[in-house]
Amino acid sequence: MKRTARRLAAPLVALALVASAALAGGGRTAILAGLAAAAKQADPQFAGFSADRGRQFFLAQHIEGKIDTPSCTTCHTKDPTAAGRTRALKAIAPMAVSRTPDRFTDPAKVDKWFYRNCMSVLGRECTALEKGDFITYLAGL
Amino acid sequence: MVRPAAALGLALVLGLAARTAAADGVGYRGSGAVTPMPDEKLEMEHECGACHAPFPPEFLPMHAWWEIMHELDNHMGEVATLPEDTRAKIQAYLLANASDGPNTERRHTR
Repeated sequence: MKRTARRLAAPLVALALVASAALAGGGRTAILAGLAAAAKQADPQFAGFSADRGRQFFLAQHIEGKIDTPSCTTCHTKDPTAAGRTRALKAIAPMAVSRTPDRFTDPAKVDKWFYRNCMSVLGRECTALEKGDFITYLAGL
Repeated sequence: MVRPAAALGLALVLGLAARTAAADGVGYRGSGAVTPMPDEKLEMEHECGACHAPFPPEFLPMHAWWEIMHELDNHMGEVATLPEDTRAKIQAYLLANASDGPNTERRHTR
C-alpha cells in the first residue's frame, strides 16, 4: 500500500510540474502574441521579435531616465541567469526564463514592471517592439 | 489505493478555501472604526517588499505615509507606481495604522 503510494507520488509530482510549466509557457506565448500584434500595428514592416535586439536593449545605458537607474543591468546585472539586486538590496530572481520559469506569464505583473522600470530607466514607456525583444531574449537564455 | 491523488485533491480544496478566506478581509466594522485588515497587510508587504524591507505602518505618521503614497512616481529615485486600487488599499492600511492613525490611537487609549 505504502509502496504503491510512493510509486505513484513521483509521476504525479512530475506531471504537476510539467503541467504548470506548460501553463506558464502558454501565458508567455499569449503575452508575446499581444505584443506582436501591437508591434505590427505600430509598424507594418514588423517582422518578428529579435533576441539579439533584446540583448542590446537589456545592456544599453540610458540618460533619459532617473539618474540612479541608467540601465536594466543596474538591478538585474549583466548576467540575466544570475539573481539581481534592488537598490535597497533585495534579491531579484533571475530574469532568464530557464532560471525563473514563471517569468513573463502574468500579464498584470508584466505590465506593472515594464511600466515602472521603463519609466525609471528610459523616462518613458517601452514600445511593444522593445518589450517583445526583451522577453524573447530572456526566454531564450 | 490512489492515496496521493486523494491527498492532492484535498490539498487543492484546502488551498482554495484558504485563499477565499484571505480574500474576505473585512475593512470596516461596527461603529466605523477601522480594524486591521490582514489581506491589506499582506498586499502591502507583497508590493513594498518587492524592492525593500517593508516598514511597519506605526513607523511613520499619517501625513508622511500620505505623501509617500502620492509620490510613488519618484520613490527614492525610482518609479514605483501601483494600479490605483492597489495604491489606495495600501494607503488606507498605512494611514489607519500609522503612528498617529485611528487604530494606533485606540490601542494607546484605555
